[in-house]
Amino acid sequence: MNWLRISWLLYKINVRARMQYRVSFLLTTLLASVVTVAEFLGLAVVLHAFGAIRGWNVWEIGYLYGVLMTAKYLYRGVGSAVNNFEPYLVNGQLDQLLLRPMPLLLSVLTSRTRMVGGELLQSLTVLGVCLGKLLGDGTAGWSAIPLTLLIVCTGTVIMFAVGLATAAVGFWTTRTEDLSVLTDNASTTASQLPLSLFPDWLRTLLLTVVPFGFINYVPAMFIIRSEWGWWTIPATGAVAAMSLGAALALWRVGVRRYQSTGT
Amino acid sequence: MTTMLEAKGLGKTFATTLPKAGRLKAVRTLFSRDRKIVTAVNALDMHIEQGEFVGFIGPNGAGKSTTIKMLCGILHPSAGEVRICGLSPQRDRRRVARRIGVVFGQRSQLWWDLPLKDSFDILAAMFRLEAAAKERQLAKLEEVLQLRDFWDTPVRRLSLGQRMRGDLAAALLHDPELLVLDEPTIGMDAAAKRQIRDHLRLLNDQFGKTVLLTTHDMDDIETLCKRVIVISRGELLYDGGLEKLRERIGLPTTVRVTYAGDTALAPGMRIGDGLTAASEEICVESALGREAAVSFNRERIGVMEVLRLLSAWGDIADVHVEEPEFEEIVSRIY
Repeated sequence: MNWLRISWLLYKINVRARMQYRVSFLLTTLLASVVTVAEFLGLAVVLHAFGAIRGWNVWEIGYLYGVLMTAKYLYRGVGSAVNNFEPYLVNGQLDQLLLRPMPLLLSVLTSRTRMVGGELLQSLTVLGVCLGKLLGDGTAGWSAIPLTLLIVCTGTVIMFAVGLATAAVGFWTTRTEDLSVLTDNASTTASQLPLSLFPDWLRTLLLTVVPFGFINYVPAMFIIRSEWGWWTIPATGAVAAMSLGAALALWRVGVRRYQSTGT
Repeated sequence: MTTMLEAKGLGKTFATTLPKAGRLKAVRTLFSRDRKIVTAVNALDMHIEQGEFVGFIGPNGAGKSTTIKMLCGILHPSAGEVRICGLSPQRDRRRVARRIGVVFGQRSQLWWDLPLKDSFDILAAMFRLEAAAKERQLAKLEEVLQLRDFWDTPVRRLSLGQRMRGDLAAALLHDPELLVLDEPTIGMDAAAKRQIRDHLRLLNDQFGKTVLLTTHDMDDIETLCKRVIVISRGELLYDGGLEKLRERIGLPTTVRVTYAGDTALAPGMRIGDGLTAASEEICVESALGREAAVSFNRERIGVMEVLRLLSAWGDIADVHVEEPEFEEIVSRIY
């Protein structure tokens, strides 16, 4: 499709523009390439010391972590602009994008690029190693592989939907950074661990308002733990679809309220 | 003649939520009920025919930018509607975007870190121009805007004048019928301003582009626009020929004099000698110690005549003639 070609062109352009500042580019890439693994190693050390947390061993938690982080970085790669939407509203950057003959959301998404290759590689490594171990143990069957790929996709959609809804709230509040600390950073950190560890209110929150529980925990209860039934998979898909639909609707209403900035 | 732009009863009110400070301010602001309604534009009608060059002026905060943004589809009007070539910029934003070219003087739509020519490649792809059509259009624009000299320069290193030429070319690449310019000469020196004006005139004269121009620069208006639309506080004040507006305003002028000794002039006085009616229109704006300022309409009475009358009130040591800012005059008249 033509828009796909233009998106690819814009992506390449953004990368080239980034490359203009070589040192900054190299530093960011270098830093990014160690952060995820370092973060997981920290988590793994703690888990190793305790052996298991309420029946979840290191590999299972690593699986949750791997799915979550892969979804997160896929979302960051595609939706970097949505994730950092505040400047578009504060500086009126959205004005220029509204003058392009492209669907607005596509204009927004292609206006900013974050290269996530390094982070993705690490997340996938963590995910691959943990899934491999679980397959080897016989804890999970071979169907876990396609199912994992599927939930990485639905997880990315859920991440994107929550990010988009957060950005859309900016049409009312202009500022979204505080909100995004709650919906993005805090929720992501919480979802690295099994939801069963959390108090009821937090678990409910992560299954409804910010449905990050459906990124990894809910489907994992079927895929690697076989505790819940197959229904978790269609449920996950439905949650992803509904989140996206709701976020798009909110976005559409929000755009009509866009106030731009004075000169 | 075909109608290029039509606005009927256009209005825009902003409900600004007073922002909260401190912890979780975004969340608290969202649920806050402290609102202030500001009317930026009110019941504005506008009608522009193909080929016109229209100046759109008014003091700061008059609602010019808000109006422009509604005309382009950036903002959604609270009341009324807009038609560009018969299409609504809100409902048919993407189709309207293909038929208008927009330049905001304070903002560039070029890719900051890349050579100028790259921006045209991207825009051409976005507007789905064939390579041949793009080259043809660029060749045409080259005649008017002369871009080749800084073709390969990253946009961030262009001078203000060059960047504006680049932005004009970017806005014209898809060959739009209507060009909307928001303060295209802002911040430029006199030479660059003159150059941009020449370019704009050519675009209107030879390429038949319809132009709507907002500016604070009266020279822009005088050299380019046959018709002006004046708004203030979001409402239409005047819509018509530049000549007629000038007749209505005249040439308001202020003369500041410093006398050798203290003056007996007082604010509000008229200083005519009774011989001519026009001299009665000279009004003392301020007077303090040795200094006084008078205002009058230079179309009706000359500066020398005013000075002659002023000299009757003492020996003049120093004189200073001022022409007030256009916007100030307009808002004073209405």
